[in-house]
Amino acid sequence: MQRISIAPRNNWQQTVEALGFGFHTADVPYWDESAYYAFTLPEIEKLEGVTSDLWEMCLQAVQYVIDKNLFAQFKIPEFIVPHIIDTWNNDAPAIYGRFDLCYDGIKEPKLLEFNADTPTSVFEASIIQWFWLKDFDEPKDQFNSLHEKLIAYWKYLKDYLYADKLYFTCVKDVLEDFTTTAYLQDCAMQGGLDTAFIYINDIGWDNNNQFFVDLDKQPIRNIFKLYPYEWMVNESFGKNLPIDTLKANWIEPSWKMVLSNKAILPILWQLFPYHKNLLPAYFTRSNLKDYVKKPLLSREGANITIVENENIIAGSDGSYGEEGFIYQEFCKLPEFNGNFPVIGSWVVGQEPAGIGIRESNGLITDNLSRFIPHLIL
Amino acid sequence: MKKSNAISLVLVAGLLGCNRPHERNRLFLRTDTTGGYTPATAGYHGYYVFRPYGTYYAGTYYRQGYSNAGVHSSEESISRGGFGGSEGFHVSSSS
Repeated sequence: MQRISIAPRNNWQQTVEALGFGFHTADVPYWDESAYYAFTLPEIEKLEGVTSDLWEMCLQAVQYVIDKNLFAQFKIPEFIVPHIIDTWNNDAPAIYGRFDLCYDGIKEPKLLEFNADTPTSVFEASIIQWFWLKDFDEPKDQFNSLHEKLIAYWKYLKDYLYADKLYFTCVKDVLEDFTTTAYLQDCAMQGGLDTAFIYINDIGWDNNNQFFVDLDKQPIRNIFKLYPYEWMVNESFGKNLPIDTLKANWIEPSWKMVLSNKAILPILWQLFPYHKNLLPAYFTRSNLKDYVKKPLLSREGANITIVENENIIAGSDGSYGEEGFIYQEFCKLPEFNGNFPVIGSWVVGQEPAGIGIRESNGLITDNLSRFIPHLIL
Repeated sequence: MKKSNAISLVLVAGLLGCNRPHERNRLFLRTDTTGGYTPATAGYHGYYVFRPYGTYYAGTYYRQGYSNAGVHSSEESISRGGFGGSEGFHVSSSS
């Protein structure tokens, strides 16, 4: 694994905008093609194998949480638990997830967390970095079959959805979320599904018939959401999820609440102690000397504290942590001239599907991180 | 890892600007969600915030949806706005 500095393409902004990538630059650059990461094929195969193993372990962990009724440790509200169990037992349709891994190309990759409910950066990983590779070095390959796998898996899921429209939803006025959602809808359309879009706050609830509706008052039976369950269950419509008479398919399904919660990290460590791709993790500090304190629910690297030898070496502010924290052994991200990459390794359906790399200037991958393309040597 | 060189975007292309003249690549986002909506104009591409909006795929027009939460506000049996109230947040690239 190497980080190689290069000159960006001329007019790269126009090039990526033509692909529909309008959020390449915020206050600081987000898409950064002044460098790329190069992997050997064995390194990529390592990431692929680990991703597959972690996915299997996560599925076992969900069953364990349900069997042992551990939802309280996840601070998941009781009213949604039957819905979670139903969607799990009924094998409700799910499409994707992204493992965040600490990997330097030498040591075993370690799981930092699993973004199982609302993983984003899929458009950048699938499309933008692929077309970058076509321009930069056409013969080279990339660990990236996201586009094909998304289309194929939507097509596969068609038989598991109600014979009705599949809606896509996200918040208003956020280009990044809209682009990600539109991309997934694009893949579903190419998979042959009948789709529509509705903003999340336009979704209606029919109080007479007790089901969700669109703006034409038509029932919603299938819906993909780029909106986290931990927000949904705390909003007024959240309580309607279990009483929906149509039992709509929400994608991702609510059982993903178990995997998108940091409490899954100590559970995995309990189930698979000393597994080579896990870091020791606990609900208390336990005997950890060097550790990362993470909120059960957080985004953009918020409310993270890193402690090494009793000293706080990095920390971030934020509004998370109300539900509690977990403690995970500190795994220092590899450093490449002051740049710290995290590997986002994708699962589509049941299979590894590619990687995207986000890079920060520090040990916490936050909302100022950059997306860096990669290739296989 | 890619099995195909033929990557195509059918919806993103229509909504967000693929393969279209640059002046049409702008994404028009409403920031004033309380204001009245401008009538639908300009065909399928661009202006997706105006209702209705959609795109063409394989020669067929696909309506993407509507964008005004107040369209059916008089419908007594329907409540709206019960999701999406976590203001100030969005699902970021780090989530």
